Amino acid sequence: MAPSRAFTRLAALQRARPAACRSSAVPRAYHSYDHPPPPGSFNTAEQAILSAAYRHVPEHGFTQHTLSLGAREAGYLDISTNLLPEGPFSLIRYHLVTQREALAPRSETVFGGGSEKNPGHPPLQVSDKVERLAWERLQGNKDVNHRWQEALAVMAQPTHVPASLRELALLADEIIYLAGDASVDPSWYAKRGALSTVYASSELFMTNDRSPGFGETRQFLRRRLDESARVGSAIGNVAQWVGFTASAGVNVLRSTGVRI
Amino acid sequence: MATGPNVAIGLTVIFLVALCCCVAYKGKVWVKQFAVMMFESKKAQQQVNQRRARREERELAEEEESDLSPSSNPRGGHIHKLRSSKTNIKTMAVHPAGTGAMRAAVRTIISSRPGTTTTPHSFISRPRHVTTPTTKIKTFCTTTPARAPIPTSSTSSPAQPSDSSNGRTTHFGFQDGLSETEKTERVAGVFHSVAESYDRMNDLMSFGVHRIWKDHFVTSLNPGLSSATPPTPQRILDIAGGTGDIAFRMLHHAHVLNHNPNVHVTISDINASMLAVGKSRSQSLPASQQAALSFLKADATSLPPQIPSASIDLYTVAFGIRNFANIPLALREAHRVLKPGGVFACLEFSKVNNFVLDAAYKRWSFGAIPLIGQLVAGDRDSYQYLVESIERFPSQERFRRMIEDAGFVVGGRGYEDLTGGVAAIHKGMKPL
Amino acid sequence: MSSFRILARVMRRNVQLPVHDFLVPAFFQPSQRCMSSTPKHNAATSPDPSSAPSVAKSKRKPLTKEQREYLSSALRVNQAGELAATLIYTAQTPLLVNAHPHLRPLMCHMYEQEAGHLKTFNSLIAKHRVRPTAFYPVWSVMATGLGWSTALLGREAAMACTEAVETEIGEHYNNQIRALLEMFEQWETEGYEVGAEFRELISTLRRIRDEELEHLDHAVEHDAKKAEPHWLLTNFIRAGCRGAIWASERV
Repeated sequence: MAPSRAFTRLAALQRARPAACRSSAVPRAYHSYDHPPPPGSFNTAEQAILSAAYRHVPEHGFTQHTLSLGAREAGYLDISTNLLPEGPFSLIRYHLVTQREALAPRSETVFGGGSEKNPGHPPLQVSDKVERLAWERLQGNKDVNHRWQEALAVMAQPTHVPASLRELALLADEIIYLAGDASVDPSWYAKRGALSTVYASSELFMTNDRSPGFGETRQFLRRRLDESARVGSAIGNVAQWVGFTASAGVNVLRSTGVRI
Repeated sequence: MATGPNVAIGLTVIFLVALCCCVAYKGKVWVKQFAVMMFESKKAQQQVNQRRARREERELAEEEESDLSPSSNPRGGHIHKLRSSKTNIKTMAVHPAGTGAMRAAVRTIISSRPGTTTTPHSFISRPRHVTTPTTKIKTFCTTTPARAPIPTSSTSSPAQPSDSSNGRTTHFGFQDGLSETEKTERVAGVFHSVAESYDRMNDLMSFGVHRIWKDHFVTSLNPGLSSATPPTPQRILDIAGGTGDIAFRMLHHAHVLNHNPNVHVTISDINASMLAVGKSRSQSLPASQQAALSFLKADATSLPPQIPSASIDLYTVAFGIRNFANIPLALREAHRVLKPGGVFACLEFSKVNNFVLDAAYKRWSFGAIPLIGQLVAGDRDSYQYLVESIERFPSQERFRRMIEDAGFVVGGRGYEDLTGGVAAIHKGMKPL
Repeated sequence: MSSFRILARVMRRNVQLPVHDFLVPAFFQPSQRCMSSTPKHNAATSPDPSSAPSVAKSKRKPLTKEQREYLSSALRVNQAGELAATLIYTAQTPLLVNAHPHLRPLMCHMYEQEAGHLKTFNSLIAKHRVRPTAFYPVWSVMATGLGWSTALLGREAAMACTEAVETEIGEHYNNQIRALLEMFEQWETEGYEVGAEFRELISTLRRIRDEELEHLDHAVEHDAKKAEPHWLLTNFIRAGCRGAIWASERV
């Protein structure tokens, strides 16, 4: 029952993925190092209600009730939850945004943990860093994992799909950026798309994972990342071969005196 | 009522089909008559204008300048009022010049208008007292400010506070010398007599969608929801809610769906007759809901002491704020009466943001709605006013800024578009 | 007379609103919150991006959404342009040098400069986390095709192609520099300072623009005007460039 529902949701997410890549065009804007960052997603009042409500999520889930509890705790009225235009989805978005923003400060320790074990080890590959960051982000779901299927259901509602996919795209971009990838050609899109898919499926896998410490989820994540890397390199090899053959052909023709 | 939207949509479709058939049969004649009417009125207008041009030239030039930014200019409303009074003078001058046979009926009504003492209120004459212009000069009245009562029953009444509060009555309207109370009385009488037809008109004009909007408005506010046991009491103030459209939905939502019997709704309207309509309608509510309902005749820009400061959980105004003479003042008043953490919520027509839909919507609102008003309710001008006042209402972004300026906090982008922006829900919270 | 004036006024009033309607949604697309994640050193100090860093750098104004979008699209289109220029020279060089060996140093020089520009913008795009254009493969194919076909037409046509492309690009850079200067001016009148990041950006843009215009001079020196039909060729290529710039700014 549950897995089949989960897979339909995943399918819905994956079908809509190209749209996510396109819509990610808008949020990814010039990032300045000199200027203070633009205001965050939530204003102070929203932040107060959401952060208070977030503590009740493990118990009450991503619901209006949780929001109402949070509002009361923060000193607001029950009706004040109307400040959050998307209702429970605001709470989900709060989770996504705070977890994503928490990645950057933690990234150094995430990478540092590897070199501790074997000092003098060469620096981590980008793919390793991506794997570690994705795992770190998945661990952010640990506390709300038993509520995450509800959240995915809310996120898959038509009105919330664009915002959810945008968050997914932002997360993929953040992970790849933090991992130090600097590609600026079409692989920019390919990498982010692939990571988004892998991450979404891992997250889904995690909701049904009962293994200690979510070890199976980590295995799943590794397998998926390896697969996408293999597919990527295969495509790269084919492209390289085609390019080489074509240029060789042109040069052969030129050497016979054809003026092209 | 119960099958409202379905009936409304069905009626509308039938009506439109009938209209199409009529137009197909009689279209040519109608078009001709309409053209004659428009042409003659324009000609007459031109004559009058030429006569008055020199005298008014300077004033007109001033107005033109101010017209470019009517609402950013704090004096804009005042100037509009001045102009509307002027156009009214013109109107009256036009009538003798008019010769069209089509206008005969109109003229009889018009001729009775200047009379200040006796006013036989036929159904048709209603808008002519409250909305200024006649058909002939309606183009010139497009900017007449938000004082035209619009046919949404719950909204109509707040049009007048400006008249009584700022004392400009003598300069406004074609009924010079009419005392404020007398005028209010008349308008109230008219509203009472036509309230039922307004509901029908709303269904026709919006294809019944206004019911869906109102339902969504109330559902999204979720009144009565409480995480505490027993549920905490809530006080809701429904401004310009004369006929109770919103208030009854609120009560149902809070009492029945959210099981919170401690929710009390106050319906406030400036118009006693509208409140009477709401009262008589409320008789059909369950007794518990009737007990949780109270009525208040009040001006939204200065609420009476029955509503103390910081006493209200939820302040709603549906299709009413457009007609307030002083919107910022009303917003500040809302801010005053709300508890910290209380919510201001407003459902109002707004700007369509899809240009295809906008073109269709403009065509419908400027083309069809006055026509339907003419055919069904027997008066065109008030419906012309309806669409014009909608047109003049600030855009979503600007209205959000007005809400923020009044001291509210808005979340997210601050509003929700309904039907592509035909209407929008704005919400603001009074900060702690 | 006056009725005309009134009619004009009415028309203006009626026209004003749809225009407003048309502009407003485009200007405010509030559903999309632009969230560039905070850089490491800022985020490390506080998880709340709104409060902490503004204290440290109060002399600089946060970039508005429009400014950030403008800068993104500017960098994106510059990268696409330099990519295309590099590919055009790559495609032209073998053919041209075969027929006119004396052009080898010139082509080599121009290619190297363009490659340097591309490298500059690649690093800027990566640094500022700007998305590269989605039309990257399309521009690659089209630029190679353009370079190759103009080189087939002969030396003059190839130089006319350079002339057209560099004219368009020079204008484009000038517009960007102007917009940046306006931005600086606005900041300075508001009492904020312009950071090193932007001073560097504008000097880079100026340098690159000068080099592009130098290429234009080279092209004209080498008989670009003698291409037949010169007007058709240059106008066609310039229209194509403008279209490509328009598209790359958006996607």
